[in-house]
Amino acid sequence: MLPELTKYMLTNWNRFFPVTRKPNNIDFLGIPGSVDGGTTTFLAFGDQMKTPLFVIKVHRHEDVYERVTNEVKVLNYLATCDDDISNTVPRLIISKKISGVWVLVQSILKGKPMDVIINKKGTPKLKYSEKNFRLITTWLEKLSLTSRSVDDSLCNRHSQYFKETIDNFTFLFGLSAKELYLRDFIIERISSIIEEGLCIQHGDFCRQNLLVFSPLIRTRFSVIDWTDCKRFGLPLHDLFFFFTTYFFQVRRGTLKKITESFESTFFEDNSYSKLVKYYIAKHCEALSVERSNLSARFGLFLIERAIAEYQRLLKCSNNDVLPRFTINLALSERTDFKEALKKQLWIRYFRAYADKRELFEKGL
Amino acid sequence: MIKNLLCPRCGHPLREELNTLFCVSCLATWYKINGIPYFGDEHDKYRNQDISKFLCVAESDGWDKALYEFVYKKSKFSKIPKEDQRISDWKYLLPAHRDRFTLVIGCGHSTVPIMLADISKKVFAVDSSWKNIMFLNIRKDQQKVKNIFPIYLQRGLSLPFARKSFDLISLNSNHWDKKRSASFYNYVLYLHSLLKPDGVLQLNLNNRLAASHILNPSDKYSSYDIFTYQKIFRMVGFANIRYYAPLPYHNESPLFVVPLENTQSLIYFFRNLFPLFDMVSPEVKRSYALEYSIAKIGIRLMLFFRLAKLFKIFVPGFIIFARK
Repeated sequence: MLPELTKYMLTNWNRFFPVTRKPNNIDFLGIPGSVDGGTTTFLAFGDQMKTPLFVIKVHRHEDVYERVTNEVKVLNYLATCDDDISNTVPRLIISKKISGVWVLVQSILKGKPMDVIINKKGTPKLKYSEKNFRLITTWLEKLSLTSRSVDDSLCNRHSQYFKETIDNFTFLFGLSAKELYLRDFIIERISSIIEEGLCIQHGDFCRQNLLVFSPLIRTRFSVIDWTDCKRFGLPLHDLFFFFTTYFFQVRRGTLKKITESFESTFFEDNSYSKLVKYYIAKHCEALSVERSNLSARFGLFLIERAIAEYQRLLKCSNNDVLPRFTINLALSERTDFKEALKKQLWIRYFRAYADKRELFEKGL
Repeated sequence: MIKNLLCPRCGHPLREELNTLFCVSCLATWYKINGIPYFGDEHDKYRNQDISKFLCVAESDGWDKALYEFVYKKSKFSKIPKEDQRISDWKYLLPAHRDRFTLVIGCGHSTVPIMLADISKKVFAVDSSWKNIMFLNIRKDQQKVKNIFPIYLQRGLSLPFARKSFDLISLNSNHWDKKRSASFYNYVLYLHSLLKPDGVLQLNLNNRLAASHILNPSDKYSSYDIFTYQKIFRMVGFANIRYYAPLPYHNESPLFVVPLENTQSLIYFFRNLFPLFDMVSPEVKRSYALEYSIAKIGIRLMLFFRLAKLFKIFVPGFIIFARK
């Protein structure tokens, strides 16, 4: 399929890249990504050029029309925003079905994935993290404020969507009394959360998707991989996702450590947790979001992630073997195949949260 | 399907009668078991108990459950699963051509044949493991993939196909039969003869000079370096040959597939993408800690001395596309 795309790109070169010299040939460097993500990425290199010309995202499955349309809509919208936003996201060059495969061609952005440095206690170094947090909260504030919408009919639709998501969640995971109590608390607050506005949600706002480029004067920052984005999502979800995943992959030790990293970020009384909560509170202030709703917002975020994770893995298991990480998590609970998809990361986080909610609220 | 098959002993056409395949020339008789041509001796290989259990689960509870339990069992002993659909992502590098006839040699857990089915008209999948072949048969039925034809072929027998039958041949790992083929050269020559004009041979091959291979000389597969492979493919008569390095390993689902002919893309990879290996989970990182440390030192040296071109000599293995 890529040879056909190459031909198409080279034929229409001046339309897509008016100021770049047309190469004679294009080589592709593959980055398959996670198996449950459903996409694989290729970087296109022309002749002996030092940087890639463009990036190609290939959807492995055919039934992805909605996913592709979402990304196209959001990227097109972002392209019309101020430079502070439009220059930090990929430019969509083509979205097209080639030989039955959905392909998105996007521009290349400079930078390396955001790094994290861990101290001896096993939490991220504060000075370094603070710099990262400042960078991303400033950007998320701009994104949220630019794309915010408080339209009534939109709010009604989303209120219904979240209620259905919660019903689905309850049915799937089987909740304890404490968890049901948290669920009811969230349901009560849904309307007031949505009334505070909806905005663009990246959906996979982890540091691997945040490219940092530091020339001499000022650190620049860009956001890639908008596959899971939504035009109308909840403002704090990306920030919660960023903090939850900030250092869980680099934490050494057993799988238990992954839950520990969640706990030391949100429940423990340490200086890293204080820093995280400071930025959450600051972000709320900047977006004029009620702090009293934070607790419900965080619960709703965990519910949405747990459902998304379940659906993604279910789709993956229909086509292929489950990811290694999923099997390892299932293995740690000795679950059979039927239960494996329900014993994953985000439901664990939700259960931990139901257990220690008051610790989350402390300091916010 | 049978009209495409030849006798693996003498290469003459086969005649089908009930569940039996007769060779009209050497009079050899082969059987079909569960509808699958079984080119092998009549023995109890396929009645092995472990295999039966795995296949029973696949048949009764689904291929996905059987595979999960298999991987689950392996994970208990820290043997991580080796294949998922990323292992066949190279298919996107091929031109779109839905009428292609594809041959897969070595099925693994069926990922490659299943993934190639949607870019092919027919996929013939050959394996010398009855378990793999039966599993593929069950999986393709359950996934409603209708254009895959599994074939059991005992080691030592020739592939039961006529010359110029395929547009694509995919050889996974080092599945050539060293007992019968005098050399890798002969095997590639043989596969070349099975390709139609313009057909593509895709191979996943070891590198003799890879650090992992040097550190583990007991590695059961024999292999060559990139220069020997280049020489062999040219001698056989392939016109267009492209080399990629699947990283970190060539016989597992890769995290990166790097084109080895483009030096600038290699340098870009070293500077911008190689550090991403540090971002994987500790479990994954542990599984290739030694190789990673060696690679890290090697890459620093290569960048410092501007020797990126040498990278292709030491990669763990290759994905090779050779066009007839």
